[in-house]
Amino acid sequence: MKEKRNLIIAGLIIGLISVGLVKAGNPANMGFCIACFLRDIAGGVGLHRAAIVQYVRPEIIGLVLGAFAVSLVKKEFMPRGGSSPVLRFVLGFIVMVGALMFLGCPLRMVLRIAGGDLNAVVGLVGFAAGIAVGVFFLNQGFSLKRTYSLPKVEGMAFPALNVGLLLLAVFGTGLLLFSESGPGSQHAPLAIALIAGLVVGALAQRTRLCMVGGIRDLLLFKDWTLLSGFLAILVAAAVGNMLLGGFNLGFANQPVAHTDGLWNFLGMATAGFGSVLLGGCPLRQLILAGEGNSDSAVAVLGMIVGAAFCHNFGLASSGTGSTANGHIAVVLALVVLVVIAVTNTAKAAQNAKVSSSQGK
Amino acid sequence: METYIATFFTHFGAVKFARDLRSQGKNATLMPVPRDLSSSCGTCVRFEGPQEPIQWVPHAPELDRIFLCGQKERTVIYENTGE
Repeated sequence: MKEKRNLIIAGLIIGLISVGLVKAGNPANMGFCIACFLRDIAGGVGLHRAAIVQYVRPEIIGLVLGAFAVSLVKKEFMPRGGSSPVLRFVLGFIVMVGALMFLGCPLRMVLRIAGGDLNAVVGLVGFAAGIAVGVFFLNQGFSLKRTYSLPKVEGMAFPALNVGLLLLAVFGTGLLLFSESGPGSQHAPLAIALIAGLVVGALAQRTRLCMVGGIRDLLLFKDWTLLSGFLAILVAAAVGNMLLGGFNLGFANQPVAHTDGLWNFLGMATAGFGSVLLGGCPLRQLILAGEGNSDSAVAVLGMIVGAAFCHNFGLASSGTGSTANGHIAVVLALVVLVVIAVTNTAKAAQNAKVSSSQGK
Repeated sequence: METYIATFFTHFGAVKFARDLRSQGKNATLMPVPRDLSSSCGTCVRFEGPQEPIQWVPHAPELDRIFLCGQKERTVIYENTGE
C-alpha cells in the first residue's frame, strides 16, 4: 500500500514537472521523452546530421545522476552486468526504431495522451499489444541469462560519462551541435532541465517507475502498483495542461506527432515488445544504468546508436508522417525481436531441463 | 511453518522455482518483487515451508536471495554469491 502511495505521489510530481518543462521551453507534450532526448543527444555530439534535432539534453544527464546519487545514499548502487550485452544493445537499437516511428518513448506517450493527442492512444494500444507478446515469451521461458557482480569502476563508468557530457554542455559548447530551429531548438534553460532530471531520476529510482513493468505486472499478476505511477503522471499532466492551455483533444495538428494510425500502433508495439525483453522501458534503463547496471547502460548506448541510424537512414517519422524506410525498418525490427525471443526461449527451457536433471 | 520470499536473476528462474515447489506439494505464489526487498522490479516467489529452506528448496541456479518473512521485517537467510 505504501509502495503504491509513493508511486502515485512520485507520478503526480513527475507529471507536473513535465508540464513545467514545456512551459520553460521544451517542445509541447515533451517535458520528458527518453527516446527524443537520446536522439537529440546523438545529434548534439554529431552522430547524425538532422539539423532540427541536435541538443545535449540535460534532463537525461540529470536522470542518470539523480538515480546514481540516490542509489549511493541508499546503498543500492550495485555494479552488475554480463547478461547478453550484445543482444541488449540490439534490443535498445530496436526499441529506438519503434519509438521514433511513433515519435516518443512510453513516458512521452503518456504525456501526449495528457495533452489530448489521441494518436498516442493508438500508440498505447500497440504498446500494450507488444508487451503482451513479450509476456507470452517470458512465460514460455525467455531469458537473457543472469547478471553478475562487477567491479565498482564498471558501474561508475556510465554516470561518469554523463558527468563528462554535462561538462561538455557547460564548458565545451563550441564542440557540440545545436539546432537553430525545430524541436532541438526548443528547450528549458540548462539548470532547470538538469534539476528536473535529477529530481525525476531520484523519484524513479526510489519508486522503480516503469511503464513496461506496470503493464507487464498487470498482465502477469493483475497488480496495478507500478502502473499507478504512470496513471498519476497522466492525471497530473492532463490537469496541468488544461490549466495552462496546453490541452488539445484530437488526432490532427498535434505537436511533434503524426496521424498514421497503423505505424503509430506498430511503432509502439515494437517498443513494447523490445522493452519487455530488455526488462524495462527506456526510462527504467536509464535509471538502472545510474544504479550501476552495465547491461542497461549497453541498452542505452544501443538506443543512442539506433537514434543516429534512424536519422541517417531516414527511418524516423516527423510531423508530416512516417517514411517508407521507417516502415521497412519496423517490420525488420519485429522479425528480429521474434528471432531473439524464440532463440533465447528455447535455450532457457533447455538449460532449465539440464540444471533440473543435474540437481536431482 | 515459515513464510519466505525468493528473488531471482531472471523471470523464468522464478517461474520454474514456483513450479518445482508446487510439484513438491508446497504453496508457492509468483508476484512482483516488493520495493523494500530490492530496487529491481522483477518477479519473486512467496512460499511456505519448514526452517532451513536451502536444505529443501528445488535446485535453482538463477536463485538470487531468500528472505525469511517475520511479523514486521524480512531477513536475508540465503544469498547466491556464486560467480
